[in-house]
Amino acid sequence: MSFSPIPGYPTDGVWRRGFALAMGPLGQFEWRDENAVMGMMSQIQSFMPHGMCLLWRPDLMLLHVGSDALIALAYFAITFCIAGFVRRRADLEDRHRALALLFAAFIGLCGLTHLFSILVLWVPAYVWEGWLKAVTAAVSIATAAFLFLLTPQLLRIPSARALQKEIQAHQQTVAALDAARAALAQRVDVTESELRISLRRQEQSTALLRAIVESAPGLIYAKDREGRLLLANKATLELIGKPWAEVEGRRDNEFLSDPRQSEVVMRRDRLVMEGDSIQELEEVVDHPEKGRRVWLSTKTPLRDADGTLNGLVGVSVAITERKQLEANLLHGSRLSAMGEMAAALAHELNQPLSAIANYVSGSRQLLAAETPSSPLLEPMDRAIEQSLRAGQIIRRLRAFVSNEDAVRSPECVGDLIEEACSLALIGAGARGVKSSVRVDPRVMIVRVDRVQIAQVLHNLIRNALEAIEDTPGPTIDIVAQPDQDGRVRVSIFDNGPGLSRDVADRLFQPFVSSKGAQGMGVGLSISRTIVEAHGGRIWTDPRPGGGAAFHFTLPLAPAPVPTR
Amino acid sequence: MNRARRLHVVDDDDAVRDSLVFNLKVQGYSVSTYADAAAFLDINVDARRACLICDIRMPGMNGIELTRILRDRGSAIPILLMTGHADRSSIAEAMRAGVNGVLEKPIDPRAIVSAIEGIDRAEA
Repeated sequence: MSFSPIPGYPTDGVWRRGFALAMGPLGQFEWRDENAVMGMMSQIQSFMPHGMCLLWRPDLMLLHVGSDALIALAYFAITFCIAGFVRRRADLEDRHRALALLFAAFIGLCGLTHLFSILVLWVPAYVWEGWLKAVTAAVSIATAAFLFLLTPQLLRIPSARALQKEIQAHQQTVAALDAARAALAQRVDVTESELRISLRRQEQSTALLRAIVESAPGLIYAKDREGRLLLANKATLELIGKPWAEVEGRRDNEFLSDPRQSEVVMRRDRLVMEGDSIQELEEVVDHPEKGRRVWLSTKTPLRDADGTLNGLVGVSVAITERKQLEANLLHGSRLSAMGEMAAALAHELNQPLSAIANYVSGSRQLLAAETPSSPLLEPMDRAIEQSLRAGQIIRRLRAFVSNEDAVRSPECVGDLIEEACSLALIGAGARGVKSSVRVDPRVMIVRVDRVQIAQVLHNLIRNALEAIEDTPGPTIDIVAQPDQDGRVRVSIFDNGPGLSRDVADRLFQPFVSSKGAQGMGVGLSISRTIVEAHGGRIWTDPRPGGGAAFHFTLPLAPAPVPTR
Repeated sequence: MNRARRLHVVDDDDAVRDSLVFNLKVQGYSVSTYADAAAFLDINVDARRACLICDIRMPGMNGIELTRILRDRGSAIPILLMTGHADRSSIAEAMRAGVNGVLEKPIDPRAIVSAIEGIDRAEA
């Protein structure tokens, strides 16, 4: 160890003494000069305090001691700080905690070595100091090694600033997300309110459409391709007589009571869909309560947005009354023609009839006065009766066509037929005509104008008689039997040559006759007018096996009334 | 049977008039005939010993108009009108004009006799 004086430091005895005084209690050594020191060293044969290396120069001593003390103080402070930090940061990873503690130990030991450096200035505890340094070295190496091993991991730990930046970036992202979410929420709100508005509009327009469909006076309905009901308005449901729940998705044959009618309706529906064209047609449907109704139906194929055929839409308007009006007008024009004819007939025929009655009556009177027992008297009475009856017929017909004084009373069908036959078939038996009358016992009472219906029967029977004039084995059969809808059907069959189709079709129109130029041909026309006015129908068809059949129907009186 | 009344028959139809006269004469009445209403108005009759039997519908003056004129003149002659097409309104009109009865054609000869007898009874 070489000690060289620090340049500038005084080496005079003042310093030495002062220091020696200061160190007095510790040592018995005294610096005299370099030679003396060398001598002392060899003299004591043990370690020298390190202060000797500093020549006990107070200024140098103070510098070393002060510096080491401050370093130790700082190192211990660091150790305590780290220890305190580790103790308080419970979340540290174990490896980091170990590193920190190792570092604290390393710094603490470094501090200790500096303390020892102070100590060895006076006490030559170099052995202890060496061991302390060895321990410190070991801990330092361990710390360095550990630090070295841990460095890549530590490198990955972001710095606070980086973290701060990252946090800021995160916060910005979050803020942006929040803004986006708020915008989205607003958009959703707007969309929702728009949706609600459009939904309400749709509801309103649906309700309006529904109201129009419901309040329409006619029938409105829609069916799918298989004829199942998709829609039916109130009027339609009222006609069907069933609530919507019972007819929804059903076909006509499932809710209409009459299979024949439903078949007709469904066939027409198919025509509309197969023909793919709008069809306008009149449909006749018998309603159990409202009777026969006539509908003017417009049926349109139903297509969806891309043009596929989905079924049909039908609108039906009741034209029953219109048809009746038309029929009445037709009937009325016929009636007024009949009325004029009847008025003329009444006037023109009543005059000669009056004359006949008067002449015969006068003649009878004269004859009775001369020959009271004359067999002519009774036929003359008959002649008077018949002329009066002719006048009565004309009068009734006139009254009837002018809708005046038509007298209707309950009459027994059997009696009417019997009476008509007794007159119309006079002399027929002599000509070999076989006749039969068959009245079904269920056919009892009709409410009619007796004279008018007798006239109809008379006309038909006389027609039949004329038809069989040249027929071998002529027969006339009269049958009265129940017809549908509470009516009676009276049929007059003959075995004559029958009627040509052409004649049969026009037979009931005025002035058409199968008798050629013979006869006026008003008989059947008048008969038709009378029957229809009674709510009946008259028609003709070929008799099976040859000949003709004339039929007419009359409504039966509601309650049985004693026959007269 | 009182056949004291003279019957005056007014009808434009010859056959009706002639047959009526024939019949009524057989019944024992004396009968005068006229082809139109004006012809009847030209003569004077004793209302109490006469009866007018007249058609309603005639060319010129009709039966109801004749009735009105007679009643306007204060004549009380019994009047029976005949019609070939009786409707309520014309019957009502005839009754208001002052006829004693309306007969519908073709007229039952017995009805005329009973009508005249009815008038006789009413005036007796």
